[in-house]
Amino acid sequence: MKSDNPWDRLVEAARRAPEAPPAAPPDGWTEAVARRSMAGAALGKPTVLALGLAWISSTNGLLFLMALLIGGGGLWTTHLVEARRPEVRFERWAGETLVQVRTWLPLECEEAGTIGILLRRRMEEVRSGGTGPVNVALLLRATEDEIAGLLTPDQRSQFEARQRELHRRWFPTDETR
Amino acid sequence: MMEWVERVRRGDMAAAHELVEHLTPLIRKIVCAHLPWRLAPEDLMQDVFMKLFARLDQYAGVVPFEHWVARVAMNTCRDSLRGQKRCPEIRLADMTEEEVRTLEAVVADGGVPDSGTATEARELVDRLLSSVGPEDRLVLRMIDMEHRTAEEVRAVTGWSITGIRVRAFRARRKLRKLAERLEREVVP
Repeated sequence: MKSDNPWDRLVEAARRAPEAPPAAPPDGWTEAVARRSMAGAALGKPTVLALGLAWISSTNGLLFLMALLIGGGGLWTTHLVEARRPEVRFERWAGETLVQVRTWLPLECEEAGTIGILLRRRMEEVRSGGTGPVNVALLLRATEDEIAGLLTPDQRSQFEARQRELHRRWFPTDETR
Repeated sequence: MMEWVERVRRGDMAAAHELVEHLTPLIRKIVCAHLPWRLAPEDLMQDVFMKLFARLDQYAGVVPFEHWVARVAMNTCRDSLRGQKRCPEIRLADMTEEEVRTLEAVVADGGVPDSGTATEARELVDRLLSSVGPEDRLVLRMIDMEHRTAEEVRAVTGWSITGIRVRAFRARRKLRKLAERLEREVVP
């Protein structure tokens, strides 16, 4: 029976949408993920062991403190590995656009493809005025043409509009000259 | 499958690579169905693999490996949805022209949509779903969009059947109210 409620009709219509074909992951993606996941798992084990030891030795103050320190350190390192995805953000400074790619650990060659994807994705966020979390390690400089080369014509015009808006905000005196 | 798992547990990198290749289609399907707004599927898939490998020792072989993987993937998606800010309220004024057109075409006209409108309707459904909590979103997506039974949702999430039904009922009621309000604004 057909529902009169607009939500039900919307869901019914959405169900007719064709399934998007699965896109192949970027080159080297599976290898990079396997290596990172193995590294993360290897770091996690001493953490669990140390925290277990801390629990058992909770009657001995010094042992407890040491185990807690080892465990905490392990957890923190695991967090770093998990947080190593590079983050990209755009800045405009002295007439140049800076593309900042920030990550906790040094980037590896195969991650260049990931940066390309991130650049496109973060572009969408720049367009909609959103911001994301940023961790510092690497700073890349790119010209506007280099950035625009990554974009479709439509994205490019939106990027340029956004750049003009940023320029008006950060360099207001230029407007009055 | 258990042989692969054992080899990965022993630190065999080749087995880890094979396991990632083998599981990628399954994880991609789950991640794409429950992807938070503006997040690339590869990013979330990477998180799923990180958790999967870190918890591989916890897999006891009681349930099929794929079921265990699906549960880890669903939990990762739920955590990721939790991390995303919920839209406080969706108003007609905040919607894009395209979204309003889709609403008019699907909701006001009530006709059978073509594939283009259907795709836009799916995007609009995603947008409206962002106004409810992550657990509600998961349940509604699985039951209403993927036609899964409450038992199937229970198998993946581990929640009780009653809890799943109550959650779906309440979330659907909330979204029906929201859609009715938007409809009144589109067609005064």
